[in-house]
Amino acid sequence: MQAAPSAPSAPSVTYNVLKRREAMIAYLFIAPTLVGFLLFVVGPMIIGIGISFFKWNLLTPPVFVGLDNYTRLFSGDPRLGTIYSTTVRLAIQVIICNIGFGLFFAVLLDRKMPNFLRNFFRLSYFFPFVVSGAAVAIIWTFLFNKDLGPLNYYLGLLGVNERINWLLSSDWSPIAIIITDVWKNVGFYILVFLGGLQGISRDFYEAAEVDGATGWQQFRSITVPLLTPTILFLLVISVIGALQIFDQPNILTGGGPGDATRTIVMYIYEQGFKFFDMGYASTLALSLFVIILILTVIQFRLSRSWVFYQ
Amino acid sequence: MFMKRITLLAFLAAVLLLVIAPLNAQDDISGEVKFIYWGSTVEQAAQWQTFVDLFNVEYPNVNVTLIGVPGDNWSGYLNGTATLIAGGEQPDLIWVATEGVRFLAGLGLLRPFDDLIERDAEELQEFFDDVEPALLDSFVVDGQTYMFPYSWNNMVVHINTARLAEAGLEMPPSDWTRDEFLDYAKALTVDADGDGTPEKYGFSIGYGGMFTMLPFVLANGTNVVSDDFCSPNVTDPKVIEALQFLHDLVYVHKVSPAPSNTMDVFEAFRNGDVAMFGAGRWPVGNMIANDFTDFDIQLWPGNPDQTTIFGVDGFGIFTTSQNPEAAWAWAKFMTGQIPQETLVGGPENPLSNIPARRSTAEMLSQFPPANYGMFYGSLQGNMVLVPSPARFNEMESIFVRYAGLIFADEMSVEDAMAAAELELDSVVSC
Amino acid sequence: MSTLAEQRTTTLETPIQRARKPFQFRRVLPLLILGFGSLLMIAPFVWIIQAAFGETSKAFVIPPLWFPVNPSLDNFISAFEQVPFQLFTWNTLKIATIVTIGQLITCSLAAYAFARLQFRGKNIVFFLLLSSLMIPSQVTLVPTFIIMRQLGLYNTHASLILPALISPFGVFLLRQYFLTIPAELEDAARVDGASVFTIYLRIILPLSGPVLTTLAILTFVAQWNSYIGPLIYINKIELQVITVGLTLMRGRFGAGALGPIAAGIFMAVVPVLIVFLLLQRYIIKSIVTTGIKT
Repeated sequence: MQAAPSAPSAPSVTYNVLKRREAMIAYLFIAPTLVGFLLFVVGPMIIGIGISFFKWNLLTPPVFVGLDNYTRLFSGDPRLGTIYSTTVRLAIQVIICNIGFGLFFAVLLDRKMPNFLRNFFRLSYFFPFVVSGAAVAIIWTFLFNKDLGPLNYYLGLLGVNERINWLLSSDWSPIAIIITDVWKNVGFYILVFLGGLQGISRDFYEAAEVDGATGWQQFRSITVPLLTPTILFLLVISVIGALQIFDQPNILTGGGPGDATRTIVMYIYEQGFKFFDMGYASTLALSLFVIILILTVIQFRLSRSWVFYQ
Repeated sequence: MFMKRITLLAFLAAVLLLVIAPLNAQDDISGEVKFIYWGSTVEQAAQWQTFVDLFNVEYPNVNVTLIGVPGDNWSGYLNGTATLIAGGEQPDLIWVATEGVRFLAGLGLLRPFDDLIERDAEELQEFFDDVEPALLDSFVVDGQTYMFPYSWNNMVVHINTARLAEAGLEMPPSDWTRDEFLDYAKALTVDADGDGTPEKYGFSIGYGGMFTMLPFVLANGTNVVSDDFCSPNVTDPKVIEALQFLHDLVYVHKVSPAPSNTMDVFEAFRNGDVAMFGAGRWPVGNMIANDFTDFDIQLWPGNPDQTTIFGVDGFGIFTTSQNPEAAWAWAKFMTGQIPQETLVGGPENPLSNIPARRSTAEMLSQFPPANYGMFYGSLQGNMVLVPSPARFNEMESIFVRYAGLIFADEMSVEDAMAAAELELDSVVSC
Repeated sequence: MSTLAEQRTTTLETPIQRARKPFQFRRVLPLLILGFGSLLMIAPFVWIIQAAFGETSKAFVIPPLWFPVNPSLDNFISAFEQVPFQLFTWNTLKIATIVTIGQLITCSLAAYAFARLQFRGKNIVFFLLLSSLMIPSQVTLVPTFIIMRQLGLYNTHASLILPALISPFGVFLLRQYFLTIPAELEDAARVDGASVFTIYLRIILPLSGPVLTTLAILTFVAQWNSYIGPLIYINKIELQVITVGLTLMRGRFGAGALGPIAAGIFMAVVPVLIVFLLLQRYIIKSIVTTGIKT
């Protein structure tokens, strides 16, 4: 946060008037954002907390049930544990793959090469990012098809004789979702890493080369430490994003088989808009919010020990 | 082709307008009616619009607004409808099937027809006489009638006759057993390269919906819920045996691919990649539209009960309707000959469900399959209404979720159904 | 590990190779990996193009095709016959445009206030806004639905537009950029008697072309691609947007031929792709700089 410029030691009357005028204008400037924020962020949060104490199907009047939904959340929902662990496992794998591949390809791209080639690579990696998650998922439903899908066909050519049941088995369907997610998002990670890499002064590498450091040593002791702020940035957004995965599993697998690919947001959607249990859906949503909040705070706390600011 | 169909129906409507209108028009019923139907395609909207045009010939002063609600299946459609109403929409009419009647009635959203039936009994008698009682009864909940049957479907086995001939087989007899069915499925499965994965399957379980799986359960003389829809019955050994058979079709006998929502079963059937699959009359339109006629149907194989499932649809009136008279006029209108005959189809209009009227069902002879009589005729045999407790959506979702694990070969049928029953206990109850 | 060690010894055993070839190879290897990667990225889309323009019955076969068989527009015609695609496109375009313009206005105003103006509660409001980035929009799904219902906005485009008109992320992005604009420029204008709004309009905005373009693109693309919102708030076909429209083409009981769906995907993807290709310089540059700033 920017420190406010210190006020003059002896404020004059005009200065105060100006000050007040400026504040007025500032409030006007932030008013649209603030109104929208209250109406569509703060308001729903409060209403959501309220609904969590009711049983309500939207069609008949709500019934106050006290802490029933919370009891169910903490002890009465046999599916919730599986769903949260699925969500978290998917999230961790998606984050690791995106950050890992993102960094890998960014490092490969960050070297001397003809400009047209660099542009071509950047574009080809990035373009799926602008395609809608729904469209991406539909494309991959066909690619993953067990009998007719191109993926199994080419894997077959590579010697994988068993046709992989990408979308209908508990072992493979999470992998299918991860592949789809990485295909869609890795370009974004590559670009952000490229930005980070370009921010590292060449001097560091030149000095290291003089000292006889190998490429790997340079990567480990210069590139990675200096990229830690970028990594933190990506980590924070990807944790928030990955815990909310919805489009891909909803279209690819519908959460199945069983609950093998059902994420918490799908579950919220199911409880709310399929089973019309608005109270429990709200309770679930709050639990997700609390978890994301805690995780983000932890990340910032921990970051002090590993993020290196230049 | 699609445009032609519309023009034809519009022409039909225009002719009717000229002939019938002066005689029959009922000007006293008027106003707005909002009508919810299942569908999201241009074609579906156009089909309903032709009904509206026909309706307006008789009731020129009623303004029908069509609201298409999308959905992957009846559950999805019901969810969409409930969201729509929860969102503040006040529809008057809904096209809905057995699966949704108790759901809507349980929420107090459907207006019973009884007083209206009593009032117009004379007028309706001819319809009641022409409809199989089982269809009429399917909409009676707690002694009250909520809808009239419009169209319906059962589950029969569709068989690709070209594949049958290729394998040197005759059509199976109508009283075939499940074992004979399995023999057919095996004989029709082709694994030319012998890699253990067939190129052509004898059967397809389909997309993995509950409706398409239940006939095997019913043929075992049992059901997934109690007869009054008040408690689950999925741990019944006979239910487990039936589901085990379905599982084995995929993993032991390898005559069917695992159910998948990405597989176009109709296309696979036309291509011969799948030789048999279970469905009602709903695929017939697709077959005819693709000029495919090499198929026939047979009753569901018995084990030992030759019982199959059926589900009926009709038009319900919402309790909140501002214009129940006009809505009632629609409900009655759709029982008439003309809307019923549209279900039969025409060369340009191969609609496909089974009409509720016996007399109209006879007209199915115009189209393949040759065994068309098995559609309406199945009502003479053992038929069980699709289990449709008030919380049908949740029941189906639980059942399908565990079926998914069974078909992924990851959970034994016993374990899956034991777990399903635990969840179903609170959902299927009275 | 053992294989690695073996490899190392083998290479050591052939010093001549080590001196020349690996050197060449080491320069080309990254390009090969990158090339292979791009191939994997592009292939699915090429396949969809094949399916969109090819013969419907040949679209989904083994071995997979990469060029359309008997290219025609049949799949596109059939897509339009199945669902009102022109309406979906128009709705999506309309919503995305309004939201983009709206966000540019609300975010730039607020960002300017946070970057340059002094007012009571500034830090706490900014912190609250920022922390709301952590609230997944899905968390407020149910209550927002209820608010929309109370406002009578369910099943209207307003239910998609209104909540999207503001963006804490946009405010943050623009504020960071505004802070990098030298304050001297404004001081000069202020001495000349320019009002705050004039400074915002005449100095800050013109200097912020790249970041505004970035926000515009990100917003437009996000809105064009949004799925869960329309899935819940829109229940009328004629009001539906492309993303959900595409899933509708899969039809009842999941049956749906690949060809028309591929045509639909093609039509859904191409507009964003064009926007992206035209403005990619800005997008890439700004994402790169966002990365540096944080």
